[in-house]
Amino acid sequence: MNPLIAPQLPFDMKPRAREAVRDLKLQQFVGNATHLKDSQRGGIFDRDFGLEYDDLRTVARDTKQYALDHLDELLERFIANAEASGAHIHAAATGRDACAIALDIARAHHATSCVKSKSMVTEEIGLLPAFEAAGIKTLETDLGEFILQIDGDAPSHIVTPMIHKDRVATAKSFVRELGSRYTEDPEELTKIAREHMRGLYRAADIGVSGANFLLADEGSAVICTNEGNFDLSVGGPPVHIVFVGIEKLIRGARDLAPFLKLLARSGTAQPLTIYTSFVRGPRRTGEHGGPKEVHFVLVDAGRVGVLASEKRDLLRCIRCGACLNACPVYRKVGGHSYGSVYAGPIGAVLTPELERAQSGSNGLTNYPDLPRASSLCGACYEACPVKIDIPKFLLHDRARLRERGLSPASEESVLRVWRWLAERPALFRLAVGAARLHARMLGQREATQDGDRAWLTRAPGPGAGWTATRDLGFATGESFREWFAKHDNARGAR
Amino acid sequence: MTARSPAVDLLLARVRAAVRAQPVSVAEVPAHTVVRRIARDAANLADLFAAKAQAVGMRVTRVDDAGLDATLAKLLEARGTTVVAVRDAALAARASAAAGARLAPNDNADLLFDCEVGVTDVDCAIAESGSLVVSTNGRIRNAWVTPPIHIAIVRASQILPDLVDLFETRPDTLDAASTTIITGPSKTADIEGVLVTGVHGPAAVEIVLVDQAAP
Repeated sequence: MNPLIAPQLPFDMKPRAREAVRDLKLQQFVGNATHLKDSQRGGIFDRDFGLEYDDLRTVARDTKQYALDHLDELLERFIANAEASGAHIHAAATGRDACAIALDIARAHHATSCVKSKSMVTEEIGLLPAFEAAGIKTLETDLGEFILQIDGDAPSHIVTPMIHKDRVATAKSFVRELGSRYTEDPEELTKIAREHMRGLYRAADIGVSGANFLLADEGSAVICTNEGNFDLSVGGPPVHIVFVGIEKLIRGARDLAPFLKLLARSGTAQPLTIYTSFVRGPRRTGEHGGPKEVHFVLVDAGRVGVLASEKRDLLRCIRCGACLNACPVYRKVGGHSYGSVYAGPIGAVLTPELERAQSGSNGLTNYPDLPRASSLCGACYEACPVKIDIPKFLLHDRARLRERGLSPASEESVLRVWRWLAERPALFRLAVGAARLHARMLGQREATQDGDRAWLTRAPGPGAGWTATRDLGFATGESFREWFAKHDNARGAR
Repeated sequence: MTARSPAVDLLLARVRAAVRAQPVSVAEVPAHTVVRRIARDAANLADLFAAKAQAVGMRVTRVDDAGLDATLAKLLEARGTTVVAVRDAALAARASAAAGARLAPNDNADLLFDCEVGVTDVDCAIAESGSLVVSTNGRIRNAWVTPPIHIAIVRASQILPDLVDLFETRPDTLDAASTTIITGPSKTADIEGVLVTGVHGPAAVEIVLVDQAAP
């Protein structure tokens, strides 16, 4: 598997983050794209749902939580209904099991080629390397994933996988891998990819996809794409395999509308994805086109463990990517800094949890930096269409880090000093005064509309670690204590 | 149907235990009237549908029954030499003949790759998002996604106000082996966020909206 998303454990985030913040191109691409998507998301919800947006999120939260709280019933219903439509059901406890199931199906059909539509769970289980190792030539059909595939790169965002890459890199890899002429025009590059793939759809032996939702009542899978690559992947080959995490289940189409309305608006500020496709079993008698066999591979890979834990809420995630776009840390460090298939705020909490459930370890030993990869500003929670309280879970993980002695010594000593001072008001006042004086003498300052802004680019002592990658801001003007003393009328002047 | 693997029963048993390991926090699925907000106060569904379909990049031509043949012929004339059409076969044959286009047989999915235009009717349409709903109920799969141009014939009476209505009042659409809700031409913004249409599906979606009340 690609070490960018499946690194050696324990994973040290810091070198990758350091590299990312110094990469000016990455800063520009990821910064621009995430800011734009985040503001467009706010705009479309405001336009279409106004003040009722929050009610819509509450409905989605509770509908998905209900599904998780009754997942056993829904799973049974889904299996019965999908089988009644003629689909085959498989269960995979681990990623390795999931790949083995797929390889068995492929061997039974003597398959040598596969067209694959974008799917996070197949990244998780490492399907592509498993297929390639078995001699099954596999084509990523989503344009972004295709470009990453031919470049040996890995996705860095759930929805816009090549957010970290530019057109120049794409142009070069097209010349090198496809023998096309050099062009940096996105439209022409897209055309080249389209022509390259059209023949491959027709010739492929197997189609593979993920799913955005599973409907228990109907026994169907729902797949959302903008390019139409899923419909072509499922329409051509005689066999189609849907890989899907069990947490994608909801009761049925009767509960689907809130999620569809939230998913595309949250991810890309569209009312719906261009294609919302439903798969209900194989082609019927008399039908033209479509797979003769449909297989569902229900993937656990840690999900059952999360379901049983106090972090069940995390399984509500519908993979819209809104929390990545909203996160000030993701915007700076990019997706590969998280060392996992799932980047950003949701990845920071989900990755250790899936790891814990699969390995039986505490999960954090292998990802000690993830709980701290956040400013706890709460933007992820605000952006989440199913209201997952990510900051709460990050704090929970930080507490667990501390209990297990996994917090860095510097953090511990800073907090110890702060506590000691905070218990001694006179000393505290003195220390704060000294720090402010120090900052005033050495810091830089700028007048803005909102008052003075002041910051240090290089802090002394233990603060140096902080200022190595960012500025240290500090307050200007009077302190809260000074302000309070002036305005504390109720108690009279002292 | 093959016999169910023991792994499936094992998964079910493990999920059952996991569900019980935590208290149920939501015992009932909430009612979702809020979901309907966009089309709640729409006075004219055809107008709302046309506006929303255009907003997501599809073109809408509004005609009455008498103008349908000529409009379709005109759209074909500008666009295609080989056309595949599903249902309304007589209509498509007349229009293709008028436009000088060749009508491909509609019972061979492989031929879709050689067609320039796919003409389809729809199961229904959705006003609030400007979406088309097509299924394999009596239609060759992917006639709406494989050719580079899709022409969809929508009757005003087929327009539902909201996505919710599709799921509540037309469960038959989801009975098909495959159903697709289409909300715009195929698109990507994968390369530096630049919007490009016509990635794998059609670059252009033309809607012919047939409404007796049209001028």
